Amino acid sequence: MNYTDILSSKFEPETTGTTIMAVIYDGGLIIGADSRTSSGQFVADRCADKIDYVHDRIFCLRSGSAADTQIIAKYVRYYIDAHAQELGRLPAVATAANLFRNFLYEYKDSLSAAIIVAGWDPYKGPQIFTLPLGGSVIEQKWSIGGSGSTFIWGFCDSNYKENMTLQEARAFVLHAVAHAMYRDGSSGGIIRLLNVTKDKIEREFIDYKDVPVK
Amino acid sequence: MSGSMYDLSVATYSQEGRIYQVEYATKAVENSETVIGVKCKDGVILGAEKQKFSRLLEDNTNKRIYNIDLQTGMALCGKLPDGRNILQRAKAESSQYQDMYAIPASAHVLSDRVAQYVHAYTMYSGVRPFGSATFIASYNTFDGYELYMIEPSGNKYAYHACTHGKGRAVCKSEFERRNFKDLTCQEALVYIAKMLILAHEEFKEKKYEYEMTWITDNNGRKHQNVPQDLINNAVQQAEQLIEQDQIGE
Repeated sequence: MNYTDILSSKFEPETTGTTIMAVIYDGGLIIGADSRTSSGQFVADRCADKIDYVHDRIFCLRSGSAADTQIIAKYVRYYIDAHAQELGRLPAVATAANLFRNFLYEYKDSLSAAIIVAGWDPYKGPQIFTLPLGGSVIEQKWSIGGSGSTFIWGFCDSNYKENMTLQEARAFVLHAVAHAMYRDGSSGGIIRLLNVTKDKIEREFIDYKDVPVK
Repeated sequence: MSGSMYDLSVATYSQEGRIYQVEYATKAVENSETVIGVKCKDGVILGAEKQKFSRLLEDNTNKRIYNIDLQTGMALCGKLPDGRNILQRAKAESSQYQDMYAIPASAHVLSDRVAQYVHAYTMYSGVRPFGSATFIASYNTFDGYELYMIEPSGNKYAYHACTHGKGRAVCKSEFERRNFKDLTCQEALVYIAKMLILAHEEFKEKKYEYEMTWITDNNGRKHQNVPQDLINNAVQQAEQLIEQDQIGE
């Protein structure tokens, strides 16, 4: 990929310079993301949804090139759908993570995509898989990603606790993402939260006026 | 059963809607050595009889039951070279599935893939159907113990107990008589041996070997050979049972 070609043109690729986060709590997991899609200094979408549906209880958080991550998510959604139909039950989160990983690894030279796969399955409960740029996979209890994440490592490391309640986890994610949006120029807008449990999915929209740190 | 002109190619239906070549392939399986698969209370057992047709043969080799993965096994009935081709395909499917989906292929998925492969060979005039029926036994945490049989036509069904080969009638009547769901695998070994011995009643003078594998709660739910001493005991006890039955008659 020739970077000078891209920089010399007046148009910069759309990226999800972003803040994304997922945390497992006692009983499920909370996913949080900001809503800014930037094209250089231009905010292409100020209310984007970076939490993509992969399956009924599996979601992915996208960071890096918007085009790359959207198309990969689309393929994986399709493969998981076909797989779940054949399997006859909910797919494993690890399956989705593996499908994402195959793309990110095989095409690592052409892609700019880092993804967090988070979901619940009946085999191992809530799980989070982080897939950074090169195509590796790591399973974690909590994960942050995107350009905004660099500003909140300290906050997250000090405030994360194992086996939080839903309220504690929600507050943790909300404040962490808000802090990142406060300091990262490529993150901003509103905050979207998603609570994934065995029984249901609950989406939450935190309007700009309710963002705790501004 | 005369096929007249409609049995020359597998790509031809007869006037009654039959495909004779597939039926002939099934005949090849029916005339071969018996294979049994049975689901018991705590597991699944696969058993096959092997005639030692030459004294030059090495004992306990020339296997008929193979592993597809740690918790899945396949038994071959009918033409063994045909069966081994199906086995290769099953292994490849299982391995690729695990590579792609990060979970082992459950029996209902794997048997479906195998059935589709076998069926494909019944559709083109340039190839012949497989002269082999295959049995798939497997365990996974979600579906528990599963047993499938795939016939040369590509038909596949899930069974509590299934059999193919020369002695299938004998085995099927034993299945009716005995409720294997109430027996543990250990207890059922005797009856498996009994069925395999009865299956070759007419050829009593020949020497036979019995190959048995199982997946049970007691062996870590892995597909493994039944220990040879257990097989030998089962065969001995089975022979006694058969004698008793005959005296009773």
